[in-house]
Amino acid sequence: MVYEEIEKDLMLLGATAIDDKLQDGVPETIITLNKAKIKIWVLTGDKQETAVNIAYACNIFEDEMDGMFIVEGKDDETVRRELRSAREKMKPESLLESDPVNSYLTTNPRMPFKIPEEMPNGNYGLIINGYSLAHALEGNLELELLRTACMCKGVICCRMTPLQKAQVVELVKRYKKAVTLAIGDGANDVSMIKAAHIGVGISGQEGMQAMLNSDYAFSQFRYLQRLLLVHGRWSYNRMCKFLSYFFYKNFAFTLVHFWYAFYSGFSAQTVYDTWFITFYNLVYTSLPVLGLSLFDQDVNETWSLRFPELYEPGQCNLYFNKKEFVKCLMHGIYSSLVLFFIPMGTVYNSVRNDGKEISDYQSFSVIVQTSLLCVVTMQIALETTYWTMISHIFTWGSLGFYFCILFLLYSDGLCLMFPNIFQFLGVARNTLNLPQMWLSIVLSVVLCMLPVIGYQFLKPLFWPVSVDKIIDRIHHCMRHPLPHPIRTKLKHASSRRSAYAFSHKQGFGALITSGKTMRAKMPKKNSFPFKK
Amino acid sequence: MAMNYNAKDEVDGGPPCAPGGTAKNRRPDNTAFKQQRLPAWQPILTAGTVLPTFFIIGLIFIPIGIGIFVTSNNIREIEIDYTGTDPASPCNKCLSPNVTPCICTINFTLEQSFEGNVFMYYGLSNFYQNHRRYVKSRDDSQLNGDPSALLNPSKECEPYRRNEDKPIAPCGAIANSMFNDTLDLFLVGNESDPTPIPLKKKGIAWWTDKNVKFRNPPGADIPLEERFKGTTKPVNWVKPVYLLDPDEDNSGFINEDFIVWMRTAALPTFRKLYRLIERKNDLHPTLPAGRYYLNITYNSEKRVNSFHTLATLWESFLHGEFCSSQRCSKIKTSIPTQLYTARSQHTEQYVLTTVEKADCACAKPEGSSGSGVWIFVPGVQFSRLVGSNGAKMLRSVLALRQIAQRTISTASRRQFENKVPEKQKLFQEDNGIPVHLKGGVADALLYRTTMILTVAGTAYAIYQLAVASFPKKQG
Repeated sequence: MVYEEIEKDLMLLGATAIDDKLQDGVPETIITLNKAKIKIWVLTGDKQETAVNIAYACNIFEDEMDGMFIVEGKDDETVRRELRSAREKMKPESLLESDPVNSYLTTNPRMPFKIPEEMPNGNYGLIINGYSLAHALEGNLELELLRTACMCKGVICCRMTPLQKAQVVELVKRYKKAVTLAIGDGANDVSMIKAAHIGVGISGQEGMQAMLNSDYAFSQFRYLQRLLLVHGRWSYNRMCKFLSYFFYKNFAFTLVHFWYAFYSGFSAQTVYDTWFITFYNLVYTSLPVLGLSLFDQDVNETWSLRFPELYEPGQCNLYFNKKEFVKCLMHGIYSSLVLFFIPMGTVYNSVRNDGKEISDYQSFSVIVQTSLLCVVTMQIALETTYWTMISHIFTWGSLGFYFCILFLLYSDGLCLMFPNIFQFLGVARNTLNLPQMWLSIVLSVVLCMLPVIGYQFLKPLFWPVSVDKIIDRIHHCMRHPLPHPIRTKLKHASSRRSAYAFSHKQGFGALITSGKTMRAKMPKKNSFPFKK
Repeated sequence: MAMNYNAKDEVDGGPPCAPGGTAKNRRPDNTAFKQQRLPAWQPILTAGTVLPTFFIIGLIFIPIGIGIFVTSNNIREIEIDYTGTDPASPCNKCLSPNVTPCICTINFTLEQSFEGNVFMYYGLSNFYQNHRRYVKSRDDSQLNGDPSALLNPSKECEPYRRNEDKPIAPCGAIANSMFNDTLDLFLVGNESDPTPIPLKKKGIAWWTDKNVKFRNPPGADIPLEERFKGTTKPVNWVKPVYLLDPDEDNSGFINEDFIVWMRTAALPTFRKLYRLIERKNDLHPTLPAGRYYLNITYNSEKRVNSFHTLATLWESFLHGEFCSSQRCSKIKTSIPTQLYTARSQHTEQYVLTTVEKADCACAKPEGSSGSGVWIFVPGVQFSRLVGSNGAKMLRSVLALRQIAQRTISTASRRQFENKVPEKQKLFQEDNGIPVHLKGGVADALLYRTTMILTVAGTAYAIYQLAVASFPKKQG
């Protein structure tokens, strides 16, 4: 050969290596996310050895895994065989005809249908490269691929083109009832970032493409756990509380008219003053809700990160679903009953101390209005679990503001200027000094709130969900602080593996990465870009 | 995939993306507000907080409840029903009187004397002062003495806005339906000489109403009649508003009975303060025990007419939206105690009440207080009314139409006559037409249009459903 004659008697001067280290905190992040029952797949364009080593380095694959499957078939049949044999090892029943998922699929269900979770008998890993993936993503094999991959603890797809990355994400989106998040930093990740439900871009040296196309962008991978477990969780909690409270207060407000209709000849006469109706959602109850949605935290961030299991309600949609909505509706109906009939009973055939009238429409209206506002304020006070100064100002301030506006709207000056618009002259003065009214407000508030308090107290006690137990533990820990923060010792895979990989011809790579020649401390190995 | 980045270095190192953006530090502030670390109180619902709360609330509420119950049981009241539906009642003759005004007398006996202030109320049941259209029907600027509103009342008062080409003062249905029975109380001392009990008519309305909200038109030295020049009395009143009381301080819009009536009640059964019987300064009781009689000037005929007029008018203008003000008059006199504070001198409080449960002709002849369920189907209500009277006439459909037209045109010319008998004739006619088509051609047309629209709409909906059930495969 020509090169054998040229490359002779050369003196080795040195070697170069490219060290592409993992970011800080990646393994810990992955462990935490696994605890939160979030499955992690690696979709990369790198070589298989690199990908596998990185996976071991950041705990996607562990040494104690029960098995690892490699799919590198070159045609449909081989790929299918490999996938099925993997599934046979993980869950032998899933290949039988009697398996529920199989029988469901043989009925050829119409789109869209979802494949349920299947539990394997251990922790397994799957490695598949881009060429095999190209075969597996065709129509008749994609369900096989999906079922096998979802049973594994971690999945590595290597040598992927950007299009295949997007296709894998879409496969999961289409057939699984799951929310997908794609995180990447390079221009080749853009397609998967756009395909996933949530796209996260890591800003870095590879340019701005990933960031510009993503929903969220930050600079380090480890911030993902804060994004999900702290901000995502808080956002879900706040949103659910906001929704259920908003529906409740509007049901309580509106259904009073339903009961009043029986007493007003079904003439659609409103119980409240028109100005109250205008201002109710706009002014009197808007700020407390805003405060709740912006500031509320059920546990603070340290505890959120320490207990990733708290993430579960968001995944199961536990806090606002059809059942919760119906509960909200029932609560609203009950509150409206109390809010109408208690003032009605107070006012029915009753008079003031000096004999003058109290049972007129305008006084009744003011009593019901004030009771309603007190009840909904107490309800949001109950729901707020994180009372900052701002929450106090918003909640109690709105109630005080209501009384100020009440006196303003029913004052002499305004009512005399526009008598036909402001008709409730003098009602505030004449009604708010009656002991009957305040006692009936207290009674309404108590009747509406005590059942709710009772339910909120008794339900986690007698019918706890898993989240309740964790929150219990947290409260216990808050009261009896732990001596040291418990840090799980990260078991580095350095006993058998290193994060370094070789990129040279096949033979050596397989030898070295199998771990047979490893010692405790490894001298730095170089990359030999030789090709023979 | 992995990058070597110094964690502290978060300067935006890429090409500038914002217009004019130099590489600036985009790190958010590490303040407590922006990092959501504001100091906060985090209450937890534990057994230690919830159970004591429940007990404390119970312990507070039980004595309050007992106190209220005991004090409210100390109120004594007497209710006297003077509706006159019972043929044995003295006021039965006033239901269809021969002479107006009809005066009837009810005797009653007080077992124990009443001390302290005695309040006399009249009560009505089944009178929907809280009906939406009724509540709107007033002009507050006119009642506040605004001269321009006096002569040009608001449109809300329709149809009680103008009469005989003059504006009505006070306008509106509320004013028009004012309660005008008068009641006089007499103590039967010796047989020959019944003593009238002095009934105070001032001090029954809210101070803010009497002094701020309701004002007579301006002109302090002009006589009251002059100030109301150019207006006419409401249709169903006997006297105009400036003659309600000889005392100028209680006449016109500031007449306290009028003010009390204008403060519309919240519920269909209500009571309104009528008169005060003040306690005497000496040691005699306000109302000693003994026999009394109540003289009632019963203006129910007018009232009944006014209802049916009301009902008919509103029927024609509002398409049957409002149907009943059935007046069932009650008169109550009562004194409430100081309900929540104990007052040692007035340990006994008495209430003298008269109650009348009227026979409400509209929906249920039995006289029970009806709710407004039948409003939705005015046709049904009318047929019941008609059915109970049952005049049968044979006419052709054409004549029916003529009558209907005549009724309507008459209505437009003479707005305040009683159209109920005509309507009864129209809808009672025994010509085999179902009641929903009896009104004439308009009924039939409306019915057909509705049917066509319904059928077409249903068919279209089914068609769309069919289209949506078979989605086209996305190519």
